[in-house]
Amino acid sequence: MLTIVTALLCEARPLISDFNLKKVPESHPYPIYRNDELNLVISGIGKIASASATAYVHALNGSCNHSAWLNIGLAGHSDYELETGFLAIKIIDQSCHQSWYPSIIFEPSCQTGMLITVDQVGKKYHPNYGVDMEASGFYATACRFTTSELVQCFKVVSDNPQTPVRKIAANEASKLISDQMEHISSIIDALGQLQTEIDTPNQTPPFFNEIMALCKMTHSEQLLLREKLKRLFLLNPNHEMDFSLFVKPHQSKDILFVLEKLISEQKVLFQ
Amino acid sequence: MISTIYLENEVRDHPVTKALLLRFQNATVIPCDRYTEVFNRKAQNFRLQKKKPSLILARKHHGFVMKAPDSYGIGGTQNYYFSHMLNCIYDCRYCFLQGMYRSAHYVLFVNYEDFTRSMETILDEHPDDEVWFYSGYDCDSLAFDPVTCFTDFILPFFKKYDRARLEFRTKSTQIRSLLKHIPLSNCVVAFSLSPENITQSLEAKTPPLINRIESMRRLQKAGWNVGIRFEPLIFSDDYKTRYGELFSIVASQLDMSRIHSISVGAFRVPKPYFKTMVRLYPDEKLFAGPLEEEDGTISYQQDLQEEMLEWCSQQIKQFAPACHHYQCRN
Repeated sequence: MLTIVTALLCEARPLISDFNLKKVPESHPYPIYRNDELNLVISGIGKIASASATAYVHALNGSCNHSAWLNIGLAGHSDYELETGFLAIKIIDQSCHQSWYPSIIFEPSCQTGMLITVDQVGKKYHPNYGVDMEASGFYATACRFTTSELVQCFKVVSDNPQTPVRKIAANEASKLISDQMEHISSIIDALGQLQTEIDTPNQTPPFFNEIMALCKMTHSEQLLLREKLKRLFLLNPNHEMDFSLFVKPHQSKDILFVLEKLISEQKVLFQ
Repeated sequence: MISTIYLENEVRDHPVTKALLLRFQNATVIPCDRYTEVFNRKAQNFRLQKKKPSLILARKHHGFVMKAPDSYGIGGTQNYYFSHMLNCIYDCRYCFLQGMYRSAHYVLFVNYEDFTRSMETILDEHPDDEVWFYSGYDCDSLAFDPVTCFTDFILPFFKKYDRARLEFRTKSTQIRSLLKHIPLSNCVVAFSLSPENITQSLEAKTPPLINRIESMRRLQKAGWNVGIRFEPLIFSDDYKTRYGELFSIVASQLDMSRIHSISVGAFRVPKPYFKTMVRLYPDEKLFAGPLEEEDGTISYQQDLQEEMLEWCSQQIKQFAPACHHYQCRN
């Protein structure tokens, strides 16, 4: 699952439309949209809003080890031309002077650039940096829930020294995002591939349930059972379990002992 | 190859930095205050970063040369190690680095001069001893040498100090720089070798065995001391056949009378690192093998480890009777 965090509805609109996201009917403090693969939450403006919306969606979805997160929004930039989309490679929080360095483990189709998150919009541009109001709050929070390679910030330049910050109409903001859909889709695909690479679903090893049915096991014994079955089938994926080895009356310790013996009998071979 | 460089502001003007920035002109350069801001952060996935590691250029401030553990070494009494770089371009599944570091980015400490200064101090502390300095603990000594040019810097230092001994530890075939220099009698280039099936299964991105041996031959021919490190020994049910084949290849391809030293060492990893390694690669068969914990270290079961070390040592004595031979245990 990947969650997109935007500050405003007008930024979200092209995403909702392109990804065919449906509004979640229940009442939530933030508008949330969803399809089978994506969540989108509209946080409101500012790093605190962005951080809290990120945390809210995480709590709502339950813990998932390798969730992916993407902040999409508008930013000013001292050097980039208007309508340029870029992935953040460094984020500085202006008020606390803390820095983050998002790792981009894929070849981005768009530009990359550095970003300063400010608390209030100003007319000052920082050489070589973009300026936004959400990234630091979003990034620091999302990184608490997943590995940082799966957290990215994508910004579209809405103002620069030649066209300074001004009130942007909602449809103008939507268009700025909408024009970047190719880059956005490519980032989402890349994050999805990285997720797949490290996602090791907590699969129940073969025969776990059958053995569990034989006798009561404490929680730590269940963990040991899982670990031993996993090792056994890593060494021999075709192992055929002979249940007659588990002597009756079934005792958890005996079962674990038999499994350890079975593991030791497997051949270790590297091709 | 390197598309992103994190650059500590402090080393921006260092000559090594300048040379590297010139080499990687197309790389995105991201300034930072300290490399630890990038390298030591929580919530990083070593496995993912291994797909596209970045280069971090930094200054090392202390701990340039460290005392080696007692079990480390090839016979010298004063043993030290140093790491001008953290992490490795290879991706060996048994490597403790993947359990030790949060990040797979390469950190290069560009202030090479501070390493040699520290070595000088240590040599002064042991005026009557030979002092061994081992490179290749936190990185492969040579694999990144075409980029770092570290050998070009360090070799003239060892040329000056007879009493100082240097070991490069490598799986690399990047020997061009060494071949440019006049061989030093106080320097050993030690190659880690494993049976071909282990290389293919567990040593991703490393040169094939035969290429490593070819590099060793060329170095020998040029007059360099070459060492062999059968480390870590990896158990498989056919290990005698596999290691027997490896020893035959080595004996037939290299001039064994001129091999500086041979060592064997078992697979061993501190338990916390091992847990991280299993978490990163839960489906790795190596970690499902006959391992056990003793005193906080994961290694093969004691009997098995002894058997492997002894068997390999016996074989080595047969094909290289005159060679200095060491066993590295915990």
